Amino acid sequence: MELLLSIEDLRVYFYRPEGVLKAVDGLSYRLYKGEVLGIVGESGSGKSVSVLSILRLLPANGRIVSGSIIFDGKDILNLSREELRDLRGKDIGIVFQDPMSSLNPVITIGQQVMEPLLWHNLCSRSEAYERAKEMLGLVGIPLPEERMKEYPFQFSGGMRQRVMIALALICRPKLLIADEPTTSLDVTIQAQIIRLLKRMKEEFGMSVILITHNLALTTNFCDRLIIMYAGNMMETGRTKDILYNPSHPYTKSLLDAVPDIEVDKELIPIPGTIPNLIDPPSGCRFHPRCPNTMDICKEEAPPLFDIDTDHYSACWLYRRA
Amino acid sequence: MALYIVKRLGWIIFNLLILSLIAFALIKSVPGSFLELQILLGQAGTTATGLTVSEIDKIRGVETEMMKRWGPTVPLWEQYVTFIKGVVTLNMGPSFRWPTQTIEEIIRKTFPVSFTIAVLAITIAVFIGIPLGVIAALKQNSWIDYLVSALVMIVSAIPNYVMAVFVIFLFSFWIPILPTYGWGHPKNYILPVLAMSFGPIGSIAGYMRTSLLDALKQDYIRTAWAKGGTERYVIFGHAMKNSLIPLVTILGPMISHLILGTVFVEGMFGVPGMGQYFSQAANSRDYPLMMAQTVIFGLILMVMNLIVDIIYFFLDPRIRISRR
Amino acid sequence: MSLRRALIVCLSLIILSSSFLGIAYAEKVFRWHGSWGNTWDLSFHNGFIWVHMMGLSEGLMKWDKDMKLTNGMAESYTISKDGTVYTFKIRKDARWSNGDKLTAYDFEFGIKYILDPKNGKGSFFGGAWYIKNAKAYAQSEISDPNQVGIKVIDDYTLQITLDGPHPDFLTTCTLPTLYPIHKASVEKLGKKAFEAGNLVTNGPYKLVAYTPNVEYVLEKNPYYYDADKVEIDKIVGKLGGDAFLMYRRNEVDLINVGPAQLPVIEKDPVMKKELVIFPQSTVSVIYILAFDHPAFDDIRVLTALQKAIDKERICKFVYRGLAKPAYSWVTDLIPGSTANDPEVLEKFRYDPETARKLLAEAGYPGGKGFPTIHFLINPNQATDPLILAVKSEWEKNLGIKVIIDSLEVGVWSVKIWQLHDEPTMSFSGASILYPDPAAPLTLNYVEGALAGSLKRKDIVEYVKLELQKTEVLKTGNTEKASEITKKQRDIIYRRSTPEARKMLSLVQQAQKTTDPNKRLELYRQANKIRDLNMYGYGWTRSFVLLQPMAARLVRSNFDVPFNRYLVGFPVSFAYIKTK
Repeated sequence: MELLLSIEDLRVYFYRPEGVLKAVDGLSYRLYKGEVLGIVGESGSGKSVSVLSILRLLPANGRIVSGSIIFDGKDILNLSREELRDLRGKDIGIVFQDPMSSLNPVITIGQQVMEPLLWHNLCSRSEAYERAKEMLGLVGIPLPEERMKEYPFQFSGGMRQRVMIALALICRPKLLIADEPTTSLDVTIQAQIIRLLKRMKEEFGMSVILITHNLALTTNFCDRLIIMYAGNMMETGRTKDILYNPSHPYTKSLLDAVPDIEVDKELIPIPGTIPNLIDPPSGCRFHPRCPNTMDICKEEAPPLFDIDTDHYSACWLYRRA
Repeated sequence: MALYIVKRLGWIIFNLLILSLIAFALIKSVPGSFLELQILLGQAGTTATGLTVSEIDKIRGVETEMMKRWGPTVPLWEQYVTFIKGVVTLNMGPSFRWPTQTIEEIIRKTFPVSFTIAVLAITIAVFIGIPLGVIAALKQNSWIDYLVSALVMIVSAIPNYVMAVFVIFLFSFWIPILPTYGWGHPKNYILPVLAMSFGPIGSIAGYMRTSLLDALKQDYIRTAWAKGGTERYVIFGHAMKNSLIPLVTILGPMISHLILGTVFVEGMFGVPGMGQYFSQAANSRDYPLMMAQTVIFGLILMVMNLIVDIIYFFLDPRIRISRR
Repeated sequence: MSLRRALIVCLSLIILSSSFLGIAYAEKVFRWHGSWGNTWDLSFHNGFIWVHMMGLSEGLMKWDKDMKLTNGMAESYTISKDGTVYTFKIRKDARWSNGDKLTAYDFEFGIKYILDPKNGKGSFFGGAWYIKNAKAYAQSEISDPNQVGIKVIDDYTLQITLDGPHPDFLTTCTLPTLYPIHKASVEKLGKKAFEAGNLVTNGPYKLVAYTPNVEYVLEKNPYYYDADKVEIDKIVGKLGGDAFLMYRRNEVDLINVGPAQLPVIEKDPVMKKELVIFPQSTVSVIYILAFDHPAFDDIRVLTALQKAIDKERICKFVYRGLAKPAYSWVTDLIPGSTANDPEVLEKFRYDPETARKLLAEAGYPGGKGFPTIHFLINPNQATDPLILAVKSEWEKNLGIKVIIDSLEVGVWSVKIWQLHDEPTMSFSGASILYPDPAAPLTLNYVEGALAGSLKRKDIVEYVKLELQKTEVLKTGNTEKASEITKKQRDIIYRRSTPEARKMLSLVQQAQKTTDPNKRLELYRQANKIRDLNMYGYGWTRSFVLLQPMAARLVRSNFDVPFNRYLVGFPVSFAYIKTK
């Protein structure tokens, strides 16, 4: 498989008046062409920050302090503004969490969907119009030509997210980032959006990074998962390996917290809260909430230990003697 | 939309009736009368009238035109009805202070002057204030931003009559190119308009800065960047569009404020506008002019608000479409 | 600087070349700042009537540039032996600014127009009051204007009959209340006849433009009989703007200045030369309003209050020399004044020791037990430091407490006529408008002085009647009102002090006296009684404080004669000369 994206030792810090917040602290992963990668974690785990770094769309106080991001052979962190702009929207599309606030309320849907094409000078206005219409149809918006004249507030939440997907995909990107695309939507619509993403992936064959806090959404869609906690990767591996054979105590507790429709079992909430990342816990960042804490956990951060083929876990439990 | 405007106009008329009634009650309950003041202060503030008090009384009771409408022997309800009739039929009668001019004549002569000056000042303020605010917002926390913010603070804090003196010094003494006083020549517009535009420049720039900064923090701006927008596309295509719409809402009151509240600037530069007439009305107990002033003030404010709402209606799709 | 020099060179070249071609005519323009007004209608008593007097209109008599009375529109006049019938011959060459002939009918029309109770709301009638039945007509007691003592004998002969001998009548013929008004235009246009463009005048100038609150422009009236002697071609009166800045910018030639500007002017060598300070017939007066308190019936208390004020110091430090102390009601600019009478001067001279002694004798040693005095001032007076100075003098020298209440002007105008629970005072200026001994002692002023001599309880009664009358007038019951007036007159004439009544009889004697020296002496005696006993105007007692002086900046290339009686306006624009 051909490598599309490789992230090495990424550290993203936020400089706040009360201190430096280490949102992502030494994250490395790879993404292959055509692959769907799920990044799972509670809110505040750094999963969104890690992908916004790929587009360098961090808020003003966020800084990538070290690491490298290589996308399609280009070192993103060393791109000029022009080159970066060329990448955004054209090679990498992104769908954000809240489709209401992510669409400009006073610009027509048609215009907003056409803009990536026009801004990258990919085609004429009339052609952009046709392509936008086609794309809106593809993402399942009925009567696209009429609805292009309308404004975001005239769309339902699910429809708006379809519009977001359409404008992320209009330039046929190599990578689609879906940052919690279903979080703000009704449960019934969530599945529709995931199905749509899956269909689009089949249609266009791009790679996808799906960011979610809901493990259940990844089952039928993601090839591979990364479990993140407090800016660190806890576990990574093929989806089914992680879901059926979780190794990290954090993954296990995440799975316990997932409502499983098939098995009628009690939900076990993860005790404690996500740590303060300005002053993170020593050693393994999960240790204050971990049911299997050992002495070493408090002193030293665990490296990734091999569990299985392509399955790694950052937990001292798997240290070979 | 037409129905909406008709409804709003109906409200304006109703509000004006209420307003004029309250104003009438207040004006009539304030002690002092035009004649009393005229007799006391008529001659450069001296009391050398040479009349005894009983003689003044005789003159007070005379049946002049103004006494027919506003005299103490006319019942109050009749005075009010006569006034309202006057407003409707555009026959409000002569002012006390300006006895050879009717109220309509005064307004007809002075309103265009005040309006022109106000609109010119606002236009200048918009063309200077918006770019200033945008620059400050885009260069947030840079020295430019601090400079603009400081300027905004200064010009908003300094009253326009101080600004008037400042521009006189600037353009009549240091760079002596403009006359300080007079009317009739296009040159005469420059200084008053300038003096009046400073305040609005400050508020527009300040408003633009905050509103653009606010817009730039919005999610849809992140979307626009993510779509590969250049600064031009993102700031002018997306952020500005959203921050300019609410600007209309502050421009309306600003214009009405400038039309009505320019007494000092008018007096300073010799602008024959409404402000001076109206500022003297209350002090001299010129009832017809005071009443007309109340109605005009109310009317201008309400009509400006209506115009703002109509413009807003066309600018903001959310309102336009939901009202349809 | 070089740009300016280049401009000057250019300009002088243009002027030189044009004068060479013989087309240059430098229009002489006089621009001044300091007038105010709302209407050119002579029946309204506002600032523009003085502009009429300064050159727009001209009466039967006028002042020459040395302030001497001369014939104006009247070519000659004769006075009947008993001094009541004046027959004026109008100049044959008298013209209106539109070319119309000016006749005796225009004078008849003008005077009756001003007296007509339907017109205007003048509070000053001057000599018009002397005309037979004029007062009755103006006060709606008679409705037939033909009963007023004005008769047109022929186009050029006007006969005016007075209600008695009034030797100062000729002088009052210079005042706007006896001016002619262009009959034809008023009959045709009504009030609109008094607007710029319509206004027809008979003086050296005519009104060509007027923008309310901004400016007015007068131009030479070519039909004026002395038009060739009128020096200035154009007069521009500015009605707003910052006068001082405008003067420095050379946008006006004459402005009023106040104490605040004096230090600046004195530092500037050019302006210092252009500053003109001259006395006026105005005095500042403190009025004691209506309230009942025995202390204010005691002449010792009133004298102590007067003597405790260091007027010299106030004039020097507060007014910076723009005022001089006044001890009399009538300044020495008016004949018959007792301003320099040693007895008057001595009685009110600053003497804190005596003042304290007098106050102690009256029962208030060191101000102990003396009631707090309230001063009612309006916003126009808030910038005048006078009352503040008086307050500090009284508090310092007498140990009494003074509170200054600043009121909105309309509220003030009502409050000063009302009854007060505590001792209350106000202050104002009083002017005498023409230099004749009778001017400050007209019957109205004398009645006022009589009322001023009343005891406190009588004043309270008088004011109660006054307030009652105001209510009665609202119902339109004029009969009841005149009944009350009669009662008020009773109080004034029956209860006033013997000295005050002596003053009355002196004035009544003077009015019948035709011998000028005798007349002057009688008025002088009356003035002295009034001054020594501090009788005020209306029902108030009062203190005369200062004689404020007018200060003006006049560009040194203009020769402007000033009128000392009319708040210092130039006598007539016709007499402004360029040097």
